[in-house]
Amino acid sequence: MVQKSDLILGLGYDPIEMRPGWRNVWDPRVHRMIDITPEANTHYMHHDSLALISALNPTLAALTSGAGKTATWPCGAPSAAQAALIAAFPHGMTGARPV
Amino acid sequence: MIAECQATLPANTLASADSGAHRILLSQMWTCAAPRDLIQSSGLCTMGCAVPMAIGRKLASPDRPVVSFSGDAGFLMVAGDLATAAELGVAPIFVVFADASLALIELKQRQRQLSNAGVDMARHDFAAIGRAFGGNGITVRNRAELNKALREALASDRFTVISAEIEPGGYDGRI
Repeated sequence: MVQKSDLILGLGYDPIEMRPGWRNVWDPRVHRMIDITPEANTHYMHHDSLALISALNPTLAALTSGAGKTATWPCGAPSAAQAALIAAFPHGMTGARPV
Repeated sequence: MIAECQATLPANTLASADSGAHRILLSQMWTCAAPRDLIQSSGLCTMGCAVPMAIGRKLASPDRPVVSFSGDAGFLMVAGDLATAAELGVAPIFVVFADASLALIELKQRQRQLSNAGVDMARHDFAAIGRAFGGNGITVRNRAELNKALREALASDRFTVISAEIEPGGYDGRI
């Protein structure tokens, strides 16, 4: 889903617990990726096509000033991915099953 | 184990997570009612942070339930911090994922076709460690026992260590 995006925004994204198969999920030569973080990327877990090294709140306020809401993902892919993630794990219910 | 904690603990619970396999699973499953309801170490992947963060959260918000989630090795690194919880008189719940393994490193070794090295550890009595510092301590092995332990911990005015014993390899296929 991330690779199908026409724009990837990393808003304060600080990758954790990365391992083989999780790194460099997108290719900044192919995908447009904007990283907005207060610190420069020295983790090399992914790369961006544009980096804004700045505080999040004022940067986002400046970038969205006067911008209206735009419809994204009319196919509903993010909510479908979220639902699939929720369905992948157990929820609720107490029973004498192993923890 | 995570589903049981989420289902049993009130919606206003403040949580902290340590580093390792358990926090990947927890981050995939835990639902927060508000920003910062769950805090954890980000890029530094600090082991041992969850216990002192839970003590601090309970100190700052004594009227809200506070829970920490740690792996067994991360909990061992800071087990002495239970003395601070006792001395401050705070009552967070410390949940330990006890699988006797540095599970995420063990997984990484397997994924890279490396041999198992230095990632197996002994089973320790974490519940007894909690009691030794003046808190409650209980070992659980199924959801019903975990549910009972959580309810008793919520009602207690002392901190509680809940050691949830799981099998090594229990994270396989889940993270």
